[in-house]
Amino acid sequence: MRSLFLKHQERALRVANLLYIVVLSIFYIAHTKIDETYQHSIGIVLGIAIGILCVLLILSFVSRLKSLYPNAIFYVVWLQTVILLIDAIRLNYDRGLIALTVLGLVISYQTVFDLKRYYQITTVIGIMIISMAIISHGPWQIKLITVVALGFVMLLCYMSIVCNKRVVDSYNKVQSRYKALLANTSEAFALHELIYNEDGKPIDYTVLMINKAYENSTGLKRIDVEGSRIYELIPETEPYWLDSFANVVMNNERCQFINYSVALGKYFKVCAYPAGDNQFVTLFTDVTDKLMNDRDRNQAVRNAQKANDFKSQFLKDVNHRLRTPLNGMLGMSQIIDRDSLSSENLEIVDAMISEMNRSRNILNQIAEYVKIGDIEHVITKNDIILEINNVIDQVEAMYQTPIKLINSADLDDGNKIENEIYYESQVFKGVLDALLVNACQHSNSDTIEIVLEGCKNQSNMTQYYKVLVVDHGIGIKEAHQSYIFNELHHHNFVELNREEGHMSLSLSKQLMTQIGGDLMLTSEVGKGTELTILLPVFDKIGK
Amino acid sequence: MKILIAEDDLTSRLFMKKYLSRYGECDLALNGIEAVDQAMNAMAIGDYYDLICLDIMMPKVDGIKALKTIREQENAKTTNVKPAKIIMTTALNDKATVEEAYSAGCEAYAWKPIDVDKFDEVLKNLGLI
Repeated sequence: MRSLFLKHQERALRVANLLYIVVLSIFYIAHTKIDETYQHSIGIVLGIAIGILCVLLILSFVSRLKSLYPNAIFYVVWLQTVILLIDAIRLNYDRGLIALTVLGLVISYQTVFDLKRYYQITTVIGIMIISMAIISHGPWQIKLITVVALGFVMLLCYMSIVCNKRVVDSYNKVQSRYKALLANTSEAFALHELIYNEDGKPIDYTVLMINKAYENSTGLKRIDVEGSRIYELIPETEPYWLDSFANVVMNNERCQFINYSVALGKYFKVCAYPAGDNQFVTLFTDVTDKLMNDRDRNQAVRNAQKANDFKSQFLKDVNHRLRTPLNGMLGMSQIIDRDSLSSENLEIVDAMISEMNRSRNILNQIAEYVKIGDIEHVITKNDIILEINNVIDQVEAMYQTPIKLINSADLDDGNKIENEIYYESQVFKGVLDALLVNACQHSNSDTIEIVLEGCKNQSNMTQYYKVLVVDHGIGIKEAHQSYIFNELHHHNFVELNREEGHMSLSLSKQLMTQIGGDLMLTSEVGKGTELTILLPVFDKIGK
Repeated sequence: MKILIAEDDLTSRLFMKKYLSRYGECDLALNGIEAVDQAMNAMAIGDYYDLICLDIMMPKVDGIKALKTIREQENAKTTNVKPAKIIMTTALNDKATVEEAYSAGCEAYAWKPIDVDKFDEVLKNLGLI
């Protein structure tokens, strides 16, 4: 019942108001007919009161004034009832009844803020009023109106109490929530008040309230902090703290910064907000460890980068220095008059040229490895078939070996690659070019095939393109297969004389690994070689 | 063909001279300043070089700066200009240097150690032999 009433409180109030107007109007009309004095004194006042009630009822529909309505109506109804009582006294109605009604009015006012007392008093007054109404000798109409009037007043009291109680309860609930939040948050909180000197210049600030996290962050105790001025608490407090907070209060704007406290030996990240009345709130966290870790990490990255740059530069310098004398030696060997040499000297010169060529190849490989760090990765969602065909066209133009593309990536075999995907194209094109050139140059194969497949790593659901470069040529000896991706480690292998401008297989593997893929080989002498590029793909850049 | 070879290394300079002498008269410069001076002198008398081979890493003024200066001088002349074909002959082959050389106006880039057969092809492509 109560919850129903609370739910429809607003409507109930208006209905009560309307009924009250009707009853009073009837009473007013009835009395003006039987008693001429109503027209001149009480009647006029009563008429005005009815008019005010009507206006209030209408205004209650205006949303802006809705909050005024319950209190306004309450006092007007009181006024109405007092007028009725005065009238009753004037007409010498039952004084006991009148007295009780007045008492009820006074007490109901006192119980406005206390629902428990209200229930108690209402019960007592109700019983007394009804008893008096029954045993008194006045006209029954007056008794009825008085009882009803008091009933309305008590009802309105109840509504007001309930309304206020709800507000107070809400307020208390919110208060306790905020208190719990402040007490349990890991972020330090403090409420301060700025202190000024006679010239209006901020000179200090008092700490009014703190939470547990404040104590933990600063190592200071609440009992020492609350109520203390900061320069009394921590005399070494740097001026920039006061300057920042004074700015917050005087300009009424929030600020955020990281600063160091010498006294506490820590870095704090602080957010400060104005809180009105020269007060401000600070929320702060100790970021000392994070800053130190970031600093150390950044320093480590810088050191690693420096070491990497030094290594790259060293390799470049060595490469350059060795090429210059090699240029002289190889150059001279190329223009030597071979016809003037004896066969024995010719053999010696050829051996020298062979060794110089090998040295040149080693330098070329070193130069390539230095370039790994310079390669720019390009993530694209271009059609991979188009990219592959472009590479095929370039290689076919150079070597006239037919290259055929077989696309199995669209097969719905559980490994189908989604349409909108991204992949690294720069490295992929370079590696594919290197494999095709290698196959054209060394395999003696009549045709070369490229097979494109999709595949998924079932354990982590990463998607890949699998690009197989297959030739049916001479194959690679098993002994050489173990060095195919590691040329520098086996000097005999550099006799491959890789075509300049194209990547070596070992560099190709390095680059594929760098972008999260791989390059693998299977080969059989007399049957051919299959090189497999595993190219990772993404459905979004960076994922 | 009139040829200018700018190379600070003795053996490389000797090799280039012996190699290119079969195609024409070769003048030598030991650094970028000498290369620019000789090119400008040739321009002044109207006896332009057909081919200039520039090393990049040279003392005093490097090959790229020399290349830029030579091109500026050629562009500044308004009559009877016959720009030389310039080939960079260098041990450097990083992308930035190669791009810089082409932007400065060279026709070709030969990476040391030079392969004479490939160099001949470049000379053919440039219409010099």
